[in-house]
This record gives sequence, structure tokens and C-alpha cells, in this order.
Amino acid sequence: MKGERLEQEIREFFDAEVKQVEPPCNLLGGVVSRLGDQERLHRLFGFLPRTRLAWALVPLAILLVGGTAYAAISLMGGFFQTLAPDVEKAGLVVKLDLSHTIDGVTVRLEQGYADSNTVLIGYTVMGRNARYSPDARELSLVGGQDLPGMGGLGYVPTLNLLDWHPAETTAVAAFDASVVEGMPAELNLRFETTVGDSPTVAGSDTTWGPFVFNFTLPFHAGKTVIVGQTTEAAGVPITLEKVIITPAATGAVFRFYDDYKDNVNRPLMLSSLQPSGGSADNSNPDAVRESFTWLGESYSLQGFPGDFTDRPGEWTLTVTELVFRPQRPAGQTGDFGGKASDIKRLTGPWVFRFEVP
Amino acid sequence: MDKWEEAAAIRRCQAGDKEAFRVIAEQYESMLFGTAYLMTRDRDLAADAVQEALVKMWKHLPSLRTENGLKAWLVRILVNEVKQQGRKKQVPTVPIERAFELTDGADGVEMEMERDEIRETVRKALRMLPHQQGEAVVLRYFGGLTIAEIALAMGCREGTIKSRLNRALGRLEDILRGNKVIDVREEVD
Repeated sequence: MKGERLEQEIREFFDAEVKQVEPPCNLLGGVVSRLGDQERLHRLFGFLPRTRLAWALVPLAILLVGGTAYAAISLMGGFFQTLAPDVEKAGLVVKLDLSHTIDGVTVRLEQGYADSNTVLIGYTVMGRNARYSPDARELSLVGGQDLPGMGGLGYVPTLNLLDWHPAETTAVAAFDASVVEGMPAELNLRFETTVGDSPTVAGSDTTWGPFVFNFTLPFHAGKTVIVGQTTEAAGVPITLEKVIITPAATGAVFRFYDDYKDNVNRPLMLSSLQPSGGSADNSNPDAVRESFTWLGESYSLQGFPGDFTDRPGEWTLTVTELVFRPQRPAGQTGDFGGKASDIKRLTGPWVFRFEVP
Repeated sequence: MDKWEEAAAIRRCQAGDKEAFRVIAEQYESMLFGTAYLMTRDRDLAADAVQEALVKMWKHLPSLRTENGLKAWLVRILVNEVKQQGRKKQVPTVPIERAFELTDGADGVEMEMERDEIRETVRKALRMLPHQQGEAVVLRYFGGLTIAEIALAMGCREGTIKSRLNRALGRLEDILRGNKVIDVREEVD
């Protein structure tokens, strides 16, 4: 028997064994009904951007929590390798090395980065089996405004992807920097956080802190390009309203119309970005295709990681496909059994060309 | 569901979308149940383990850092849950090397198995595998996990998994060859 034959024999055996035993018909229904009772470890995206630059932070947030490469997330490596790799490479990340210990629990600020879209803080919590709470952290300008948090972002177990109760926690916090006025050379910041002994401070028997840090970060302004261009394909018009380019990422803001205005009906988008020259098709290795969709209340945002701040000229942003989630039957509320097979797609392309100064 | 759709569903699920959760759960339900069943040979215990694993998936998914790791992550949760369910209910988890001894006579499974001489031989051969080798074989050939995914799910290095699978396949081949299963099947083909 060749190896493949043996493997096939084993597969057939397992399949036959399992086929004889049907799972309970309401296996998933029982699970879904219990979800509301479950406290999740981290609240993600529990926000909607409220300021004009806030949506530019969203692709960063999605990158951060969606994760793109586990291997890149290492305590020994940079905190922002996944989120903003070019920022790391360019040496724009500031090493902070500030730590504060209270009753055996240490919070250590490792790295920071700030641009006109976001302020990122990478830090660790160690000791006493501490569980970090993403809800209990605040960032403010010293003597000035608070920078709104971008939700419970970036809870990263350091030891093992599969170990969700690490004694040491690595985290990246993202904050909306749109409240920063003007283009200061640096930001004087105050970061405050609390550590609880359960995933949320509200559920903790014991909390430590507040841990308070004051520090300064260089401010990288980047640039915003107002596009205001509408194109139509497959009967669907889409407007690219603006593009925000920072050393960390580029955010593209789209608007949909009619039936697709509601974020429930609005599709996810597959897209690629060609920063300058050439085309954004699949034959172009320079095109950025690693993009993410965020559905705001009145807009969709695509995020493209990478630093394209020094790429003036004609840019091409191509939406290749719209992907529609299964629709909820009329009159039905609550959960419904949308299946992957019900996902509908519309093929474009919707092509936007615009000048970046 | 392709990789991109799954990634999108994961992000929605991380954001609290229960419909996205259902899409993901449906994608893996059969694999999880089958894996749990092959480990326990108990339909109810397997169902409980799958339900608990999926609830834990919902609870812990926000900490998942890469969509590529979802399947292995889920299987890891499931394997742990199978063991916990067994302890809670004081029903001993059936070691993989024993699991293939058991059949469900009430459903007529045993009779069917006895009619299938080859399957019976395969079952015996699998039964003779050490626990960790058997577990790796289930995850590989029923769960369809890659070597890297099994390594994540079992908390081992890839080299260890390769070694276990190679030893398991070698042993199975020897057993089946000794029982003439291989020769018979090859002649038939």
C-alpha cells in the first residue's frame, strides 16, 4: 500500500464512523441562545468614529484586532509590526521604557507612535496572574483634552496564541488623535490604566492602579486628500470621498447610496491600492491588496497598511468586488441562520484615480 | 466559505456579530463534532463538548490574533473541552487507543462494522496506536488539519507532529499489511 492509499483508507474509515452518528439537530441553536450570557474577554469595535478623522483610525484598529500574522506579534519584536510595519522599519516608533509597579503588578510602557490619525501605545502587564482590562485606559494631552479610545484593541497573549490566560499580557492601545489641534512637533501625553484580576475591571475582585505615565511622542502629521469621485459598476455607484495618508497606513473613505446606505445592507469590499503609477491589477506586484473594510453608519472605510506619504502622483484605488452578507428575512428579528453559501458577490471593477500632491 | 469570507466573518464576530458567529460555527460544526465523537465515542458528550467549545470561541475570539489560526485554535479548545466534559460528568474520556474498541450496538453500528472486514482491521490497527499518535491521526485525517495546525492544536512543534504521524502511518501500514488488507485492496484496484 502506498502512503496515499493508507491515508485514504484512514480518511474513509473516520468518515464512515462519524457518518453513523448525526449531531443533535439543534446543536448550534443551543449555543447561540447562550451567547448573550457570556462576558467576552475584550470588547472590540464598541465604538463608532465621531470625529472627522476618526475613521482613518479604523483600518488601523481592524488590522490590530483582525490580525494578519501571528508570527509578527512577538514581545521580542516590535509592537506595531502587524499594525504599522513601515512605521517600525522607518524608526518612527519611540522606545518608552517606562514602568510602574503597584503591589507586585507591573505595567511597562514599551513603545509609542503618534500621527494625525492615531496614537499607539504598546505595553505589557506582568505579575500576580494579572488580567489586563482594555476598558480601563485613558490617554490625554498633558493639560489638555482626552484622546478618545478606539475600543478594546490589541489584547495580545505573548506566550501562545492558544493561551488566553497568560500571566503576562502584551497590549497595543489606539487613540483618536483628531482632537490634536494644529501640527505640533510632538505631543505631551498622559497615559493611565488600571489592572484587574479578571478580563474586565467591572468583574474583578481586585484591581491595581491607576498606573499613570507622562511622556512625549513625536507627531507625524501625514496628509489628507479630498477626492469626491463617483464611479459606477454592476449598477452600484460608489463615491470615494477622501484618502488619509499617514506613515502607518492609508485610509480610504467610501460612500454608498440608495439600498446600500444602511450599514446592514452595505457590502464588504475587496480592493487594491496602487499608490502611484502603473495599475492595481493582480499582475502588479507593487499594488497593495491587503485591505480591510469597516462599515460605519454612513460610510465604508478601507484601510491599507504601509507608508505611502512620499508617493506623489496619480494613485489608483480599485474596488474589485463587493461581497454582500446574507439578508435577514423580512420581519425576522434576532439571530437568523445566514449561511456562507448565501453570500452574494458583485464584480466590478470600480476604479478611482486621483492626484496626491 | 473561502479564506477571505472567513476572515471577514471573524472580524464581525470579534465585533459582536452573532450572525457571523453562526456562519463560522456552521463552517466547523461537523468537523468539531466528528473529532469529539472520535475521541469520546459518546454522541452526547461530543455534542456537549462542541457546544462548550463554540461558546468559548465566542468568548475568547477577540483575543485571536490571526484568522489563519482559527481552525487549530478551535480544535485546541475542543480537545481541552472534551477532557473537561469527561471530568465534569465523571465519564472518563476515552483514550484514542481505546476509542476504536467501542461501538454503539443500539444503533446497529457494531453489526455494520463486523460486516466490513477492512474497516474492522483498520479500527484494530488504530487502536494499537499510542494515544498521541492516534490523536494526531484523527486531527490530520478526519479534521483535515495541516501539520502546522496540529502543532498549534496540540501545543507541539511541527517536527514532533511529523514524527508522530510518520510513526503512526508506518505502524498502521505494517499492521494492515500483516492482515493482508493492503494486498487485498491493491489487487482489487
